Amino acid sequence: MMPDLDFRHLDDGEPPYASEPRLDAVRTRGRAIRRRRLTIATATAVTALVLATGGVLGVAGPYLRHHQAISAAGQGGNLATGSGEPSQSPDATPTYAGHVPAGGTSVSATFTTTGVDPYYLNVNVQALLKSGWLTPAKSGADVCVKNASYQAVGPHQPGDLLISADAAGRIVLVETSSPAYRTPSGIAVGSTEDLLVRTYGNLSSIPNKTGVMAYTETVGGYSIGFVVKNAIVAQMYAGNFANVSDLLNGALVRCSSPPTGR
Amino acid sequence: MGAVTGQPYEACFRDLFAIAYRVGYRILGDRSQAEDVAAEACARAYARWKTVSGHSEPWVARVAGNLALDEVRRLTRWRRRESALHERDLGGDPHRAERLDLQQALQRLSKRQREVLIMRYVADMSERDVAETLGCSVGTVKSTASRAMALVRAGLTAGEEVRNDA
Repeated sequence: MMPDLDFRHLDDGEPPYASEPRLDAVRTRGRAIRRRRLTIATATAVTALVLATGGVLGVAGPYLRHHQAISAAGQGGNLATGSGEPSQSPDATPTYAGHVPAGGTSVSATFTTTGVDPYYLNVNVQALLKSGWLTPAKSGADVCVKNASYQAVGPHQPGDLLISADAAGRIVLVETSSPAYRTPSGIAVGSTEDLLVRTYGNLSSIPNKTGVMAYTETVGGYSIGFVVKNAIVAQMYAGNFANVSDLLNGALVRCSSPPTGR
Repeated sequence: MGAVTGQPYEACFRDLFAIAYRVGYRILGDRSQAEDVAAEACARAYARWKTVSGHSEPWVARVAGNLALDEVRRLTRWRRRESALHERDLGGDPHRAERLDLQQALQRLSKRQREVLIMRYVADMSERDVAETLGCSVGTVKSTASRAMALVRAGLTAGEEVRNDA
């Protein structure tokens, strides 16, 4: 069997004495180590908490806000058809005030089935009006009596984005004739009909009384309607499927026309 | 063995310091460096006394061994072995060459082997104390120590042969 290693000959012949001052010094250093460990542990925990909270809010925040708006307001109101009444009482469902950007010139130009940030369907227009993100779009006789139409302003070019709200003040239709807004798949006013059909593939074509071609892309009851003139996308609408399809096939009379003189 | 579970730190300090100093000095061969190592190891034990007090002596030995080897690594970053050997000739340490061989041998071991060897042979702890500190069986300590010992012995023998040839 291998003999054990023996290092006793490497010892100091006169090791130092563990005196009281040395003990004091060691305790002081030990307390400093303890404080540092506590600080590091606290900082780590706080950082982890901040990152976790920020991560959750950053990832899920826009999704939650958006879907909260939809679920809070239910299925959403309908545009008045001709001289008809709004299909829903103003007090029937709570409306969602929506989030109003603090300001600035940076806006999203993504045109989705539920609108354009911050002009989402079912969002109450009052907060947007107060903060100067909307202005009434009055164009004489075109303005409906019981429904209101607005145009997006602020960083948006006036008239680029038209907003229709029901009698309860909830956004029910968002429309644009401007090439500044693009769907998540990349279609904008000015895109060719061929590209539109190739991009979406499963579009529903809508017979239009005026002779122009129209298509809808529907996701979860909400649609984007594309009006095509001369094989070019000329207008886009976002709203619930009933409103958009009625509008495209001519059964629905808009509350207002785009302001003239744009 | 002076430190007993449940005792206040102050009652164990003298024994802990002595163990840490012994480990530091056997590896480093320098009084001031060994004192620094012992003080730091004891301070770390004080900072964690609630969890360490149950096996404070092997714990301090292990920490002191690691601190001593950290010091060795720090020194060897800017000083080659031969020059260190020459330098230490001037210092009058009769075991300088053997100590340098021990330092090199310890650095070649795995972490577990090094900890076992330091606690078992550099700090002269019992196999049971080492096993309790590392949370393994006495048999594991024995087998690990045996392999580590063979490697260290080979390193020390090789160093001795080189010195004899010179």
